[in-house]
Amino acid sequence: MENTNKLKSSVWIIVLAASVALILTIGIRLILGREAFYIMVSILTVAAALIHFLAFIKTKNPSFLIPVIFYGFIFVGLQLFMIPQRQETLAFVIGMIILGGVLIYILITRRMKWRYREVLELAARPVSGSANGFTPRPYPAGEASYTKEELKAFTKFILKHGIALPHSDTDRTVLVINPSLFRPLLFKKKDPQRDTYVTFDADGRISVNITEKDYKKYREELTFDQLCQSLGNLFKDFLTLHQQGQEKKIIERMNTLKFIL
Amino acid sequence: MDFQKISRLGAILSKDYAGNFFRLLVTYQDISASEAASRLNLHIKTAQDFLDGCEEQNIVVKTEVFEKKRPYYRYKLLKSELEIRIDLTAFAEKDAFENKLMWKIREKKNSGALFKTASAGNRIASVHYFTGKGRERKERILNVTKSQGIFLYHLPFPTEPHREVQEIIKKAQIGALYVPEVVDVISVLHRNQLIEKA
Repeated sequence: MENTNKLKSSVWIIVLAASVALILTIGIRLILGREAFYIMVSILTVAAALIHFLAFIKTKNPSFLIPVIFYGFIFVGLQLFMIPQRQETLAFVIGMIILGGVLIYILITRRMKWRYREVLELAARPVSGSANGFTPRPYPAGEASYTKEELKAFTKFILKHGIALPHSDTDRTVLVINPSLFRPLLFKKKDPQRDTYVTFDADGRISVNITEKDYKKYREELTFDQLCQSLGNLFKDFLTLHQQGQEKKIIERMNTLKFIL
Repeated sequence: MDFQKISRLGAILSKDYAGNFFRLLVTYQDISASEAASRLNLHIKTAQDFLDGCEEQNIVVKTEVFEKKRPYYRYKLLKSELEIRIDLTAFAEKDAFENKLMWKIREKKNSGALFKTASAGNRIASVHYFTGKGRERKERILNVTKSQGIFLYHLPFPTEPHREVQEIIKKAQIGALYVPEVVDVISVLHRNQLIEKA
């Protein structure tokens, strides 16, 4: 029997954003005309391509190159449409279908997905109590055994698969569980301690911090110390699986969560 | 000699005219406040207060004298030496200290306190909390030492079971030398209702 999600749904945000985008697009097309519309969409596609390219540079995840090519293709296509008497419609359409298909495949298989919600959901699944007890300070979540090289390899894996964003201090590695990859790419935060994170220090100690903002995303007021311990255990398990060369199981575990929107 | 008395004596001795005053007291058989004031070029009230303070400390003896005018006091030196000895270890609350090690504590739910972490992340740097209500409400900041910060990092969360202070100290691997200051911060937090006892 599948568990019901412990996180509140965020579908309404996606629907709202899509609706606003659609209304704006139609509005601009109707008010400003065809050419202005093409210019606006061109700018947006270039921006989207650049952001995805930055994401590729940061994460070394080659899946991000597909949207770069896709948006680049749209940009080129729009330029062709804007030139009078120049309409390579068929070639453009075929290209869009192929690239679109590849992009849909990548989206369905979650190869580019930022796993923020999966991480929070997996952390909450073992928590049975709802005694609240939120406190804005880090929780000592136990210890693990790892070498510096193992930790480095693990953080690279975590970043590549969109699980967390690593920051390195002198004595510890902080894995920040951000709602998205793109905002930190564009607006660099100085203090990762204001986010939800899991740290691995040089002595093998693990600590967890969950922000109030993220805590409020759960349907219930989960017993806070249990939630922190569970998040620490989750990353400890991920580390162990990685050390054992079973990285696929980490991805499978997150992919078992269906419809996590 | 109790500390309050010593601190009052310290206040007398710290006056910049104290040395000259004692020179007069040693030289004269006895002296009045007005005579001392005129000799030392002080206000009579100042001289009076100094001499009364010395009398309270049993350094001089005060005698009432009746002459043509209304009665007044004359002051005579009682001691030729002053010794101040303070046992600082008396300030340590030994019994209370040992009791507090046995306290079972955890962070209080919804205390409103903010535990700010140090940049290293494995200890607390300061605790921000509020006192008072309404217009009297004030923010207080308690800057803690490294040992106190490590202790507070291991303080049980509001939903965890209470744990003995000495158990937390052991878990946090805090050295014996730092235990008194840890106990001190527990007192402060308890007094301000940021932690609760079982």
